[in-house]
Amino acid sequence: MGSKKKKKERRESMASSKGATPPGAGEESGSPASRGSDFMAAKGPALRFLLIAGGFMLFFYGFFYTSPEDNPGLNNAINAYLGAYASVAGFLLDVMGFDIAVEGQNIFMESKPVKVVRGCDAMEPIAMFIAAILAVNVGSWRSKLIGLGAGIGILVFANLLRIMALTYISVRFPSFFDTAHLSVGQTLFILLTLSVWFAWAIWASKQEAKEEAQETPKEPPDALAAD
Amino acid sequence: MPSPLTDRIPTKRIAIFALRIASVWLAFALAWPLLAPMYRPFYCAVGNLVFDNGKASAEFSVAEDVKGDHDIDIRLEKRGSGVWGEAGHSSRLSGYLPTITLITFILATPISWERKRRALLWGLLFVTLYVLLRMWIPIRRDFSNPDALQVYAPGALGRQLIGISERSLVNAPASWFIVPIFIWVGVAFRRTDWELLQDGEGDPRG
Repeated sequence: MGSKKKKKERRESMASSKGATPPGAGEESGSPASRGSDFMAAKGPALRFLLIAGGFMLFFYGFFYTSPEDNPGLNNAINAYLGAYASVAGFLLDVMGFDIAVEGQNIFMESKPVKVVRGCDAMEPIAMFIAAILAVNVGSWRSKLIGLGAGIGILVFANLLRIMALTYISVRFPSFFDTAHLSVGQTLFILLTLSVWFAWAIWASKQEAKEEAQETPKEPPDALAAD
Repeated sequence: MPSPLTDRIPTKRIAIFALRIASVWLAFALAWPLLAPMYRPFYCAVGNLVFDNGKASAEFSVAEDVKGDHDIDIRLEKRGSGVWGEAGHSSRLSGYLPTITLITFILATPISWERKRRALLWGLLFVTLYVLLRMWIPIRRDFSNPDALQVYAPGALGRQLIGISERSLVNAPASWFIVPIFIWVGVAFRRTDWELLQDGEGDPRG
């Protein structure tokens, strides 16, 4: 309940900051202290977001990018995960009628190998998505969990489609592979990640507003009449 | 008939924003062959200004024979010892892509041109620092390897940090997107923008 109250206060302060300036306000707007508080009022949420999400990403990078020699257990787990991507992508391409064989992280399409390596796992965008959901001061923990579950599912599925498309391109149009892999694929995937996050954040804040509206007791009509 | 879920999410607004980013980014990416002859010397000039000094110096020059993404040669010199080495580098991957990503996100954000100008000013400063970090990490690694070129002797932790930094901030495929996105959030967003995104009630002129 405490956090809901804080969020309500935050919304009210945002509403008042958008409204008409009361007489006398802003008289000292030129002073350094006032400029500092104006800056924090405008940029506070973005800085808070950066601190939490940036901290999460630093932790992720420090953990995920330890060298394979330093952390063989993690390396084996990632390779198994990449192998699972290769197996599922290979299975789906096989169902679609392509000549496919899968061996570990390698997908052989028409006997030409494509290896699913680190970086093809989309772990960075997914980590950014998790960081952004945890860092933004919107939504209850329940809606954050729903967002994480649905969002990660969408991103993993989209990455599977990306791996299938890149396998096809590497065999049929090899000269376009680098462009499709580094420029087009990355850009589209990051845009998808941001779009899913925006969609979740807007949904979560509307859910929150709806829940608060339901919780607020309505004043009886005759209370107004008594005034 | 829209479902209650999609009814609450302005999917059209989000799709337009994503499409705007994709088209601006694509325009910048396709402009690389035209901009490269100007960008490469600029990249080398910034690199030389920062790294071509001290005992461990790195001199950047445009490669005479550009092959694929390898367009910059770096001459690493351990000054005073006569020992030097060479390394290949890509100005497009290291500098151009993070920079256009940031510019694209700022230009695509529905805020006033005055705010875009200010965000670009600060954003370009921060993204240049990030690009310098991407230039510095491999240089530092080369001068830390235990060979004739070694200038620095980092401990086990220092070596590990350089390794993690290189794998995450230089080699990781999405890092040139993710760091500029964080910079974009820092320089372009204000408290009231959240409402603008939700229902168009915010004031983009603010």
